[in-house]
Order: sequence, then structure tokens, then C-alpha cells
Amino acid sequence: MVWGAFCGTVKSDVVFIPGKATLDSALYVQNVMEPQLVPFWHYCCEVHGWVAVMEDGAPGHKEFAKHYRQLNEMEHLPWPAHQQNVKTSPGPPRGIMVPLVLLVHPDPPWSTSLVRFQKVWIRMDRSGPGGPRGPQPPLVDQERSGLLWTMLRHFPDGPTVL
Amino acid sequence: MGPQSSDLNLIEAVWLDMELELGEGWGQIGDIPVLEAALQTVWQGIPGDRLQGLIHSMPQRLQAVIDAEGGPTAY
Repeated sequence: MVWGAFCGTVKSDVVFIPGKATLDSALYVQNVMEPQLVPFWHYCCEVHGWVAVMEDGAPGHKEFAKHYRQLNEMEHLPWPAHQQNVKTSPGPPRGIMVPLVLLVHPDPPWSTSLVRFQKVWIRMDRSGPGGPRGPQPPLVDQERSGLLWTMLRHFPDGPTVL
Repeated sequence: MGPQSSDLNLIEAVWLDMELELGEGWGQIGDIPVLEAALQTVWQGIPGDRLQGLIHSMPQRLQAVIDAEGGPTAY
């Protein structure tokens, strides 16, 4: 199995995970989260001030999502409010767990997440369709890149052991 | 269709790029080191412009999903 992520134009290392073709949450933590995603995530936060993590629906992600949120105290930091906090803070958000795992839930009404995500995103893209008309703080392109996209990839027809 | 769908997860497009770059036979590469090296090369070769382009496509992707009321989109 292979894992990779990018944030803006910066790519993570690509990670090869030995073993069976399926990845449970423990393997995900051991092979991806601790050695790769968290350091990469922190780096991206230093660069962008805040970073949301957008994972795909791989089983390892789903099962680990709860622990992931707890680990990062995400329940206490709704995105928009936190974004404001970060923007007004004088320096990098050291000591604050910045990222959110958003759009990773298969079960809750996805439209809620989508709408929330869209509001933030459109605010980040003032020229985008349906963008805000009222006064908005200017956002630089770099901030819009502050999403970290990550995905696990099975080898669909590839070797069974990798 | 959920928010984790490929329509909204940009890295899906990156993986598709990689698959196209590796060719149809990539899944048949049985030599693991060779496969890893090939994936590594293709991954490193993804240009920043491509990633920026994907990021800039996000508002349109969201709008497409909304317009389709959660159904399939062109993405």
C-alpha cells in the first residue's frame, strides 16, 4: 500500500506500507500517522498558520478518525472560530492543535460538512462563484493552500504483498 | 456520494495522474523495489503547477457537487 499527501505545492514523502493489502487503524498510526502525517502536518501549520486535513474514506482513516480527533482536541476547535483565532494570533499556533479532520465522516449528513466547508472555502476564494460580497479580510493565496490532502491507495490489481 | 468522494478529494486526481503516468501495466509490476522506485519517481515529478491548479478548482468542484445535489459530477 502506498500513502501520500500534499499541502499547497509541498508534497509529503510517499510512504510504502509493507504487509497485507488492507490497512487497519493500528497500522495506519504506526506507518503513516506518527512517522509521516503528523510531522508533515506540523510543518504545514508552521507555513500556513493553520491546516485542515482532508482524508479519503479508507478503512484505516475511518476507524482512526475518532482517536485522531481526540488526539488533537478537535472537538474544542470548530474550524471557523479557530481560523479566526489563528489569524489574529501573533505567531505560529504553537501549542494549539490546528488541523481538523473534515469530511471524513461517512455517516453524518454530509451536506452539513459540505456547507461548512464551502463557506470557509469560498471565503478563502473571494473571486469564486457565490463569493462573499460584504467586507472580508483579505486572504492570500498561500492561506488557501492550507489544506492537506491525504489518501491511502490500494494497489487494485497489483501484488498482494507490498 | 459523500464528502469524502473523489469529486472533492483532490489527491484522487493526483493518484489518477500517477496511474496514467505509470501506464496500464503498472499494477502488474511484480518486483516491489521496482514498483516503489517507479512510484517514487512519478510522485516526485508531479509539478507544483498541477497541485495549484487542483486547489484552484476546488470552488468549482464544490459548486458542481451542490448543483448535482450530491450526485455524480464531471470531476
